[in-house]
Amino acid sequence: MRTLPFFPPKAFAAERRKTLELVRRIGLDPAQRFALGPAVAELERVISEQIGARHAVACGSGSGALDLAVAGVRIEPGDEVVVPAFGCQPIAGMIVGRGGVPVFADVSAETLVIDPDAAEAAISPRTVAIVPTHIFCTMADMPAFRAMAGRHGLAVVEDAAVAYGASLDGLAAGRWGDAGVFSYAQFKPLGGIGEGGVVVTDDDEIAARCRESRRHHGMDELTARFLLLRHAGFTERMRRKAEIAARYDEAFAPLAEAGLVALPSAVPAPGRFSHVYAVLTDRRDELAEHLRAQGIGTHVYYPVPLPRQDAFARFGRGLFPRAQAVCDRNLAIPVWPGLNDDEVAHVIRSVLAFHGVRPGRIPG
Amino acid sequence: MLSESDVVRWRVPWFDGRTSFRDAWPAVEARINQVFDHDKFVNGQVTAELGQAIASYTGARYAVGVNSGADALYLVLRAVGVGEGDEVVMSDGAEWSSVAAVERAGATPVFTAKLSGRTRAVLAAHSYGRMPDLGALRKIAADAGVPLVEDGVPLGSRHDGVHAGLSGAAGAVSFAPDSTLGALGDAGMVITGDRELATRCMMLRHHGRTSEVPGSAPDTSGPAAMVGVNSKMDEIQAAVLLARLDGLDGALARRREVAARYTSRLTGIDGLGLPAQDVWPAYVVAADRRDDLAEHLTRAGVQTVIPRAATSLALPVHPDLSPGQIDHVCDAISRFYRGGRA
Repeated sequence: MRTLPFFPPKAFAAERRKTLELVRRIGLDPAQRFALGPAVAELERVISEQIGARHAVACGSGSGALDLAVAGVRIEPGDEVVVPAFGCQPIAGMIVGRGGVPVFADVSAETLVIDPDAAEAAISPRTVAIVPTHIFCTMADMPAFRAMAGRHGLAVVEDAAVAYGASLDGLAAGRWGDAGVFSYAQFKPLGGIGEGGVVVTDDDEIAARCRESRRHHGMDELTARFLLLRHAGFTERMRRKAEIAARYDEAFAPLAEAGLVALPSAVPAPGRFSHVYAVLTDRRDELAEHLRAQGIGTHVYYPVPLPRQDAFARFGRGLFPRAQAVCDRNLAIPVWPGLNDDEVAHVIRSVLAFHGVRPGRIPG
Repeated sequence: MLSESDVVRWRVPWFDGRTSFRDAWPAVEARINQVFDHDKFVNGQVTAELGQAIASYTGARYAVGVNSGADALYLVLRAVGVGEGDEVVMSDGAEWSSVAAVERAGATPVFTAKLSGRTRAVLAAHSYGRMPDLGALRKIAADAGVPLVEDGVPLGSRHDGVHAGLSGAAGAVSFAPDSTLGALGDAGMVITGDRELATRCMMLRHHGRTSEVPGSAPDTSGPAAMVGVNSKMDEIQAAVLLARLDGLDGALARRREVAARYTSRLTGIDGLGLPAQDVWPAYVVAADRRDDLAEHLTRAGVQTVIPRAATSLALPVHPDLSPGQIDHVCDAISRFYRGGRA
């Protein structure tokens, strides 16, 4: 069996010829438009239609989109913004970049998304916004955050970087916030051939401020053309990922007693999607080593809580026991759409074998 | 400025690289195929190879690929410690993009050589290939005990054998499509002889992560030592740049021919000051009634750019500009100063 790297190998192989043709056409196009041209406008139209948002503003990266959204909701120097203690650095970094002060809130142990009670406890008179971040395979509890924002008069910047295509209570990820942010980096759900991101909003003024702020931060035409090309297969790829995730769920359920928890462990799991498939276990490093020996790649997302990283230590008052536990215990395993059923079974067998379980029948 | 470019509408557009692109296509195609073979589309092997090639071409010890020229300057400023409340002394030629990068770092641009306790860096701008007075600026920086940073470094520009960008702490290079070495989208690079500064830029371009330092664990999304951004170079842009690098000296020579033709046709016009330099991202004239001239040229189908400096006007220079197009620009300028019609 081929080795199964964590990140999808050769994911764009089918697009090689078409990509070369796109590059050639852009180079030879009489209009000589290389960024923020008609392809970017078309991508913005497609995304705003898909999401049902009034505006979509494309820029050079997911972090860049978060930066635009922060500017869009008018976060000013000295303003406090409540962000999760577990996640990727831009969640806090883009706040600091605009002079804001990130105030960290602990996360749910079951789903890893920001905990509404912890977030509300972090609100002060200086708080102007909350950044609920969707993590791995679960959307943050957006109804709770909308209500909280209403109670305290806060803006919601919905970090849907990993959640393009997800929805909660029938409303698309990205639409719950005053502004929502998607990333289209290579390994995101709709992965691009270079960095890219989009802000979606229904608010004309927020959209105008985002457009104003992106002048030196535009999306390349090539990136937009490629995303338009890949958009066609998006639903099918996500369907296959969900199918694989369901097989893992079924197979790993009995391992709960042995200390392996598949995420999300909340039942029911509203706002679930299938981006990263991760488990929590005290034996994380041993399991990673075992899987590596079986030719299976894994990934540890965010081994250190954001407030415990040197970059953000000066903002990191308080304790974040759940974020710390998640950092110590999470391990993500391959869930890319190109995995065939035998390979999925191999991953399952390998995880079960690590726990001393011989499968009678691999589900699926 | 490029977003306004429209070859169909302009008789002489600011930039039109179609002929050069067609010539370079086999090399570009081969490099892009390498990107697909390597299967990594951002900040991968081709970006690393481009960094080595640019280091070798410029004589820099380190070359760090980033997402744009604007980001290159921002990262250099951050890497030398410019932050909230600091001041950066700017050379006269600094463009709006330099001002924006300084402000993005939280600092204030200061356009006189006035040092204060808050001066954190001196910025020397290579505006459209015009060399700033590096000797004088280096002295100002040395007196203040702060680093000299160069912005707008055009590939191929040298002074006394030293490539632009390497007279101080670091230089910011833009590979925007209309640059002397241009990508098909945004890309930029930091060149420096300072290992620590290069390392900080590598961390800053990927969220401040220490995992960007060679030798760290590949299987984790590591913690951040500093507050960074996401400014990685797209591999396909790196591929285009590598493919074009071989032809750079030829392209610089063609730009020199374009500039020489401008100079020979425009010499002796009252009210028009002509530039003298070695590398030509554009041909920047000092023009009496500058705004009227710009409007006159627009009506004549000539796309120009208005730099930050008061009377200057940038005329298009690119390797594919034809003698007929240059003559059209020069005829229009002559008519303007003779009081004729466009």
